[in-house]
Amino acid sequence: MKFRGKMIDPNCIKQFIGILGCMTKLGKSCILRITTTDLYFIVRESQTISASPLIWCALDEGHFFSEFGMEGLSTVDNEIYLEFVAENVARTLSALKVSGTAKSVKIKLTKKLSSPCLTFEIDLPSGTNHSRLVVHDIPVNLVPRRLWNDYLEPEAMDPDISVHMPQLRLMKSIVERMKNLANMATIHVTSEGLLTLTVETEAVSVTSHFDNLHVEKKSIGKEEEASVTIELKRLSNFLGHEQLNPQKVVCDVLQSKLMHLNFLSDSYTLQYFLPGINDQ
Amino acid sequence: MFLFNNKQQILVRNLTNRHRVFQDCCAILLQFLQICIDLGRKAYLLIAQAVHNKALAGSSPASDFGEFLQLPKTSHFEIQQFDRFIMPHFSSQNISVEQNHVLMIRMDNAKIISHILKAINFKENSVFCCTKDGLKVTVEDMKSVQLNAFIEPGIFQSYVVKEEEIKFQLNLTVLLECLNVFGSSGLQSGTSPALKLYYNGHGTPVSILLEESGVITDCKIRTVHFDPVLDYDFGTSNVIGRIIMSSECLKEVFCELDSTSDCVQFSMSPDSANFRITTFGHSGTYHVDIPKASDVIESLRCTSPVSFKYKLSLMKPSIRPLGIAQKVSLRIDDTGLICFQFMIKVEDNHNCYIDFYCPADVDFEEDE
Repeated sequence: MKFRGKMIDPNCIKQFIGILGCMTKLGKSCILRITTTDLYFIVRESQTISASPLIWCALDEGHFFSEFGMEGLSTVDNEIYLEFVAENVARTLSALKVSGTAKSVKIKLTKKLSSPCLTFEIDLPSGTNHSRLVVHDIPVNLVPRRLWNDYLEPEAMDPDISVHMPQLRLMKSIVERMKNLANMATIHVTSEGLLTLTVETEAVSVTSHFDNLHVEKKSIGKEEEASVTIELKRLSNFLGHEQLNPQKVVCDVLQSKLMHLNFLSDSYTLQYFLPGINDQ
Repeated sequence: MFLFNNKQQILVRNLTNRHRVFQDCCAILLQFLQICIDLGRKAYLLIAQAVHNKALAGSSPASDFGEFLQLPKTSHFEIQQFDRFIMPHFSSQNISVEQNHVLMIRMDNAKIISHILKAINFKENSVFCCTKDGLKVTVEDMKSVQLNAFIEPGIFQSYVVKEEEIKFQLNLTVLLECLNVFGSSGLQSGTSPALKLYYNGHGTPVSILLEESGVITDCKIRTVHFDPVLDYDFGTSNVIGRIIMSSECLKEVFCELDSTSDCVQFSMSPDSANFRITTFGHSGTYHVDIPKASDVIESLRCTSPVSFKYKLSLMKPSIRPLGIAQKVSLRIDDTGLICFQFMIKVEDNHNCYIDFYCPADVDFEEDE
């Protein structure tokens, strides 16, 4: 298996760092899936597929990398699946951020001391004419072929209602505060573009109303509204660490089952699947 | 825009094309709107998209409604149905939305009230006492130390109190979470959410409506019957020593006090040139002397020598209000009860006050 990619555009590097930084804060370990066209970062909190939140990020390699080459497991399964510990990458990223704009970043799959590594070769500007090369080796595990199915792309869900969320900054703050009041909140979306977030405890009940939202999609034949109860801590954790500046954020709700946030940008998409809690 | 009543919403759904009913609805809605406009700058009206029914002879109810309210014809309206529970409220002519509220407060910037209340939130429970002179919020610990915040009516955009004295108790920490729901950045920076608070009397929850950038949050906080709080009677006749000084200086002194000391002693006398603050810690006795003549002391009046000790742990709640105040006055009476009064500037020419009462540590009373 081989992988080599080089980024030279400072904006791309910055964006890549942002995305990778976000992913590494959201879970202990992260899966990197490399195909001929895309890079995927997948974070799943626990092994049980249905019950835990899932973060799925897809990057278009053509946008980020000026040079890109990969050879997968085999010609039939031309993909690479790696698993790495988030904390290890976090340190690389902080080194990148501190040292200023890199001239180029090369990412390679290598073998160091007989174990596979993801190597970041960062070319930094220096005071003299010589270039300064910083190399970080992050140990990775190769995910065996039989486990690849655990990380399949989530099925395009058919939400009951889907709305465009413009005021994410306010929602972040509201969710953060609500987290201090209760464990769970209910999200309720209507086909008229109203989204409400409600917590209710013995001492207090708080409801936030986001109105005039653009309805992206409404399932025909289903109800005019949908709601799901979610765990506030998880949502707050995700929103709190999300540092991206997407062009668009879409919130989908599948009655009682799922809340899905989709961050859309030209070059990447980030999806957060948060399963609902059954009230029973 | 949103239209609020006691239940925060009027919904008019599936209005039919019966013209007369529609006109009646408009009349009532207009009246209601007028009341809401009186309530404040953030009265909103939600008129959502129209009508699934046939249009009335060429004109749709939506545009009729628009004309009636003198709203632009090109606006995009939808008319939903009156909630049948709300209709009975509006059968009489001079309906007052507020007829059930015994307390109603409106503010353009909720940050002001949360800034003040945060400084007294050293315990969860707080007692609110509202009179025509303003809002007083009390937080007390073990019937000894007490913090009171005073907010005068002039600070609010609207302050309506229907009874002579309205008292209730609620969880201040929860209230502060609600007030800061759109972000807890400082008083000067960031957002300034609009606030409407109302209370319908004994046993009902306190309702709070906050609006920021079109997003509205409404909260209902349970109230409980209040426990009586200590009423410290600080008559001026008993006051022996009184100082008005800059709070920044006092804050510096307090922050540097020896924490290994159990208590702190305040001393002043007509003969001495200084106001002395003393601690007795493991490494020794420290005196901080602030000269009466110095710039930081605005005035010092002392009828006879006074020196009392106070438990340092009980003094802790005074640190936060000290941090946000501009000036502080200290008064000590003959029993050793000390009262700090913090003056906090909010907005251009308004002040809020926070009182802090702490009894002396009586076992160790000594004269200088």
